[in-house]
Amino acid sequence: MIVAGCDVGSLSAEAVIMRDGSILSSQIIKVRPRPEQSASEVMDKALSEAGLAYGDIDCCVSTGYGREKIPFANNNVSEISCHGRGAQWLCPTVRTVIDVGGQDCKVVRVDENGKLMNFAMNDKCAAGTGRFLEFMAEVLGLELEELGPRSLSSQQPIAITNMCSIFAESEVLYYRWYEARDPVDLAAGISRAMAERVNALVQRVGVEQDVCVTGGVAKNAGVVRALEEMLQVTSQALAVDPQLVGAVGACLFAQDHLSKSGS
Amino acid sequence: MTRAPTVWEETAALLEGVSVLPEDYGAVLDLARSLPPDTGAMLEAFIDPKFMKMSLAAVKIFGRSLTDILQKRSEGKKVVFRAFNFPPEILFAMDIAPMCTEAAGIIPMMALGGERFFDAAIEAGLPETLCSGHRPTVGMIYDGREFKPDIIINAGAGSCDPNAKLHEYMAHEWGIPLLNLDAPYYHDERALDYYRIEFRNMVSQVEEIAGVKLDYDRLREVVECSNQASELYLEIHELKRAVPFPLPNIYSVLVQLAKLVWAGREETVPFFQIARDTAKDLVAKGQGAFENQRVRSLWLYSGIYYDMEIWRWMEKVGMVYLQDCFSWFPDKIIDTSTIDTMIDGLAERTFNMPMTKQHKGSWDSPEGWAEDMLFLAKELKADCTVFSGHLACKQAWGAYRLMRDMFKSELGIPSLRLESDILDRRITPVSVLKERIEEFVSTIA
Amino acid sequence: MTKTEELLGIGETLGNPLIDSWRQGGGKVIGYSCTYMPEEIIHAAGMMPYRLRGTGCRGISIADSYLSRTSHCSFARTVLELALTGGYGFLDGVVYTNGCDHMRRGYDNWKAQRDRPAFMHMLPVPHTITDHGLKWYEEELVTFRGQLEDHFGAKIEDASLRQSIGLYNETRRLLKELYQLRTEKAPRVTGAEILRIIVASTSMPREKYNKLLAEALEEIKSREGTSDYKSRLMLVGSASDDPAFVDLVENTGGLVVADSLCFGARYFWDLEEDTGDPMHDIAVRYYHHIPCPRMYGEYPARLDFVRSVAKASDADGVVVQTIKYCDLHGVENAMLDKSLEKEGIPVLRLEREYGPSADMGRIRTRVQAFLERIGR
Repeated sequence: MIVAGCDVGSLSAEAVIMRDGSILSSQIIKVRPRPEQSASEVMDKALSEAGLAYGDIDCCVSTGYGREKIPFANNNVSEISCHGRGAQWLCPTVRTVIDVGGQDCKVVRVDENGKLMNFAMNDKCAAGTGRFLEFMAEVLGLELEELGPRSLSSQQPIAITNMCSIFAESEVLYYRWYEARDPVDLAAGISRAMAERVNALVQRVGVEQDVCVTGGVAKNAGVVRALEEMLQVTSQALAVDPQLVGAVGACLFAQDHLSKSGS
Repeated sequence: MTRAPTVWEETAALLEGVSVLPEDYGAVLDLARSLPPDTGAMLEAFIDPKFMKMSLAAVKIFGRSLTDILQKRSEGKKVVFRAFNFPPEILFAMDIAPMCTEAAGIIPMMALGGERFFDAAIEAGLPETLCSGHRPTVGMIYDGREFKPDIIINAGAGSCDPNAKLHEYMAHEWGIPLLNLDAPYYHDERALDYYRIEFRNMVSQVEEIAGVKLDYDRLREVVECSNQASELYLEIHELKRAVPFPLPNIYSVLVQLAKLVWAGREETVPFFQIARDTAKDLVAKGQGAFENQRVRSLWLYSGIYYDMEIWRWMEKVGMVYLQDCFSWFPDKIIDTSTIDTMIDGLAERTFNMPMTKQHKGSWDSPEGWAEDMLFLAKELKADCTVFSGHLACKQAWGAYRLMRDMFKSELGIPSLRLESDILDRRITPVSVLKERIEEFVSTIA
Repeated sequence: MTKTEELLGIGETLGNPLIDSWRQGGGKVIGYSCTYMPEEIIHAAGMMPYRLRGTGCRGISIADSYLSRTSHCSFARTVLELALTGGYGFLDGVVYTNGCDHMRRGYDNWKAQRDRPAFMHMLPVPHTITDHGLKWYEEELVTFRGQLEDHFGAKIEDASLRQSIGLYNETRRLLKELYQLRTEKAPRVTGAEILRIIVASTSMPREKYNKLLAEALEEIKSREGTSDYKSRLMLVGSASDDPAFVDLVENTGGLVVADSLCFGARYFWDLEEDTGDPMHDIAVRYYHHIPCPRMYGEYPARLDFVRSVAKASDADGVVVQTIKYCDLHGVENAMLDKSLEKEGIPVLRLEREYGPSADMGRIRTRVQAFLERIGR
């Protein structure tokens, strides 16, 4: 049984191909102007990596912002369910999935089978999403990938209190240039501010251990650590790139679909 | 096993040193610097070095009022939450501990610093569009840092949806008896009759639930004290017509505390006496409370409370804070002959509390927002008006444009709109507000 | 066109040909904002009540200089926008209640305009249910009746009131019959159709409506029911006159089989009694009808209604939606969420925008996820 999962978000698109419950290939790309284009490109790559063709796929499920626009998908499932399912499959003890993407943030509670129990989502406000970090990295003159590791060495994080990204920028600039503060401490402050916004969302559905963080921001060690401190948990690492979790979940739903229809 | 102190216990402990402060600014600064930064900043903001006597008279009530409530509670007396627009005299006379819902969260938050409490309410599922005046209180209770009240009085019905609904929520969430006071749309005799029925029902229900009885002598004592404060307040109001203005900007904040949070407490009388004497003295000398008064501003709704330093800063840029909607108390002196005359008098007092009076009807109702603010602008010779409010104050934001246009056409004075919250500093930084105020002052001065 | 199709199409636009012909015949139309405003009084005066909604509004610009985009609900802003741009030119008068802070100020801003209906009335309703509250409310209704009579030179006799009550009670009976069809395993009518039918009732002369509804009901009864849905949902929350929203929910596979909306069950569930005093009967019916979250202390009654309706319709989950900035429903929904989940009834909380700025994509994702959660 070969299944595929395709996650088309607003910033990136991922594809995962599985055979008999093992991942054969996976790809991540930046999105193209139209979701169908993103889907085709990322799936083409994943198929190529696995040495397969579209016809070899028994079932494909799409998810993400552009999920309804994918012509080769048999079915679509919300990214909420997919993230929960995918994370729990990768780490069976996981019950709370915190997905912090480029443009939104969601918290998903699942049961021991990865089934969706409850969720909360923020897709309106930039604070608490990857966009905030991108913005701040620019303000500090750092690469996005540097932000996390740099912040870890801070002894004195500077509290950034403004909720609105626009004002937070002024605040950071003030500390950086007027008070000549260390960018490391500012990076740490930014991580904490971000973690606070995420935490507020997490508390709405409550935490059950184990916890894991998915999505692009999971790669920012500073934010993850700050979040862990606030929640007083150690988040579980996943065996795959955290951006792939949605597509993995979609694969599993594709598997379900096949089992249900008995083929 | 000892439990962690509640935020009120912690605040009361921090403010203990305040009640024995001498009239010496050096001592004030020493105390302020010995306290945690937020508490120290709060103290420095509230105590004006040029008006030590008056400031101290008010600030000393802080810790004492908290300690009293804690004391009463430890004696097994009931704690009643009531919004700021419900004067507590009647509750004092029933030997229970009235707590102002908003102050219960705001004062500890100012003293201890507490953005985290704002979020606890949202995490519990409440909309973030609710008033930031209530979220600290709710947040503290959810956080386990505060005890729950025994009775909740909802006085916001009619004048403020978020206020009223939040009180209903607390009652439901924590299984606390809820007493609703519905303020009708109009402000005439018929409306007041209706309100008196509501008020009396509320009184008997409190008696029943708390197992107490309204005591005539105690009520008389409290109301007489309140009457004294009212008389002095009105005397001071007359003095405020003077140019230059004879009171520091912080007076408006102290007045609100005295009338909204501490009404009926005997310490409020000396505070008003000192304020009256101070103002009288300055008026006689033809002096202002501070130099270089360039602009007299009437604030149409509330002030800014997330950075208390702004009150003295405004003096530095020459802006006089005449007063705001929440510091307007056109009280009638209450007849203390019988229990009934007092209950009726207090019902009428409650009916005329800030926000209730101005906002339960239409913006231009008789005795409503437009009429009151226009009256004050004329009385106090305002050069301009300023509007700020909680983002949650829908009833105020929704009529601001009409108010602004009215002031333009009636008095030809400009208005400044400050878009920010008044308690949550994370929305608009105070530096942005200061820029706008300074710019505004320079264009009209 | 079938009678059902005719009925479903009435509310597609803000105005419609039936209103036009009513007016051409000399008839007057009075707009109103809230279910605490008795339509019978307007009807007994020989006029047509019309419930304000935001249908067809393309964008909000003028209204936002009065109401704030960062504080006020998009329903109140949309209605004000239409008011200020002549969208309600077909109204001869308007009656608001002090339903909520947003609408109160919407009224104030409209009334302050130079160009506005000559007859504008505020009907203040108590916020609690008490004996003196009923008395107050009845007095206000009498005042309102007097104002209508004075302004329009109409005469509202007891006999006319009684007749109007009869007519409106007939509507309620028909709608209840229609709602019964929703409780079936294979419902013969969708939630979106129901909303369109309710909206139609508020946008045309009542006599015509009852006739059309009765005919449509017969057609609907002869339909095959639909089992093609993933879950059965109940819809609760902020004022919702927008069938596109319900369409979206149902297109995701969640059939809306029940509601507690003011453009829904709360509008018609209760009938007037007949004690011989029609004004009093009207007052009692309207004051005591299934309460809106603006009525403080009545949460148990509302919860009870939601619970019993959810059960009777065999709902799999309840969607509690709020228009952003609506605190009355926002807080109410926080309470409902906890109460219902505690009893094992799954709840989806949705915060949304109404009208031109409606955010369908976000809602679709959440509804889909909810269905995945409760799905069988």
